[in-house]
Amino acid sequence: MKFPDTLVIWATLLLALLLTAARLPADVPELFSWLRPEWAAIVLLYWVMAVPQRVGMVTAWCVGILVDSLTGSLLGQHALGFVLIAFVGLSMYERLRMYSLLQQAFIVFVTIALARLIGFWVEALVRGVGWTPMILLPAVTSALLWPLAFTALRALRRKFRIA
Amino acid sequence: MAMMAVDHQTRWLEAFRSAVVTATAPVFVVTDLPYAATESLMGHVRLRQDNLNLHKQLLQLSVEAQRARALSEENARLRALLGSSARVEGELAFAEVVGVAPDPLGRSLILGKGDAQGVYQGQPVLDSDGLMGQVVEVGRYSSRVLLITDPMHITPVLVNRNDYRAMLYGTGDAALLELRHVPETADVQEGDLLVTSGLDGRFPPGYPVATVSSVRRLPGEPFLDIRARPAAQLERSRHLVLVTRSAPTDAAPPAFEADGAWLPEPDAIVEPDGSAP
Repeated sequence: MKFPDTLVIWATLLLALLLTAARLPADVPELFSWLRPEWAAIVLLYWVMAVPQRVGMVTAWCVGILVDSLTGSLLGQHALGFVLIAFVGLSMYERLRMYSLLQQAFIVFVTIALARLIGFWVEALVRGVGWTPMILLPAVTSALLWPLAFTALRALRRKFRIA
Repeated sequence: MAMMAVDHQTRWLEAFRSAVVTATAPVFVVTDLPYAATESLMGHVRLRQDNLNLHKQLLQLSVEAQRARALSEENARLRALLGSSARVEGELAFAEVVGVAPDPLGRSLILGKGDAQGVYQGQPVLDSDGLMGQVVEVGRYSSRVLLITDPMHITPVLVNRNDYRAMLYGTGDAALLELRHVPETADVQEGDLLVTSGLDGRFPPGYPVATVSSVRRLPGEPFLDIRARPAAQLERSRHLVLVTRSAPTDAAPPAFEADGAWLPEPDAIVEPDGSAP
């Protein structure tokens, strides 16, 4: 029964990738493109926390490369951030499971903010983009989204009995 | 981290990158579905209206084209008299935008055509109003276009009125380009049309790029602060034109090199299987 589990996990990751690439209509204001949560990072962090023996840093790296390709960033930029997120998840998944949703959301904010900062650092080196605190907005929206994502993914995990 | 350095500095990962692009292309097909659907569900009435308008436009444009043909023949004759070589006209191919890169700092689009349809890296992309950008990443069935508004993009332009040469920088803002390093004595005015100069050996010369929207003198600064608005409908155009230059682009060395600008080195390409292309 190992194969379907992997399939379910990758299906959720694929959905996250779709949401990452989802296109906003041309006339929405600029701000909305800053508000987009890091879908892939959220889903990844959930699976790392729930089934650390299945989803680890290698998966994180692969998903990161795919996100790099979708966003057109330097290959490895998101991969690095996602590996970091997976590392944090792997090293504290036992504690994370004990936390309340609010505490988990805070950890989500911190890890994604860290990954975003690393991404910004790379972009500043390569493309010379200037600093704007907007960089951290996706971490905020991701944290706000976490309770919903967590509940949905847990329901899915229980339905397919992934462990 | 090493991978990032390699990707930035060299072209070794080109094949891998194009494989990943090919793999992720279906994602953009899915995200484009709502847009493709709204277009195909457009009401009957609106379609008729559109059709009518397009017919009118076609008539108007074909009249203009007649005149343009006469002019271009005259131009060729005059050029022959002067002994200068004729301008290379590119072949046109059409492509549809299937995605917009979700990156608020950069500006790029995904096209629904790739390697298989003859799209190549560095290919100029236009819409009906002007220059859009150039192809920077090619997958099998899709490709990425870096828009002229991306902060990594620099376009060599001419002021149409007096052939003054300058570099037009993208800023990351969808409606703002900057003409940098223009001295105070230069004759650039508000409302001037900027066209491609073709000096880069990449963009065909003479296509509109932007209109100068403001020229300011900053006290104490050696250069003018010149802003321009892109001519092309960068955020709205769905059907784009790819220009294939008749002369092989690999033969011409890249003529402009700016720090961090996206330029391949055509002579340094080695395929992963060891053979040169």
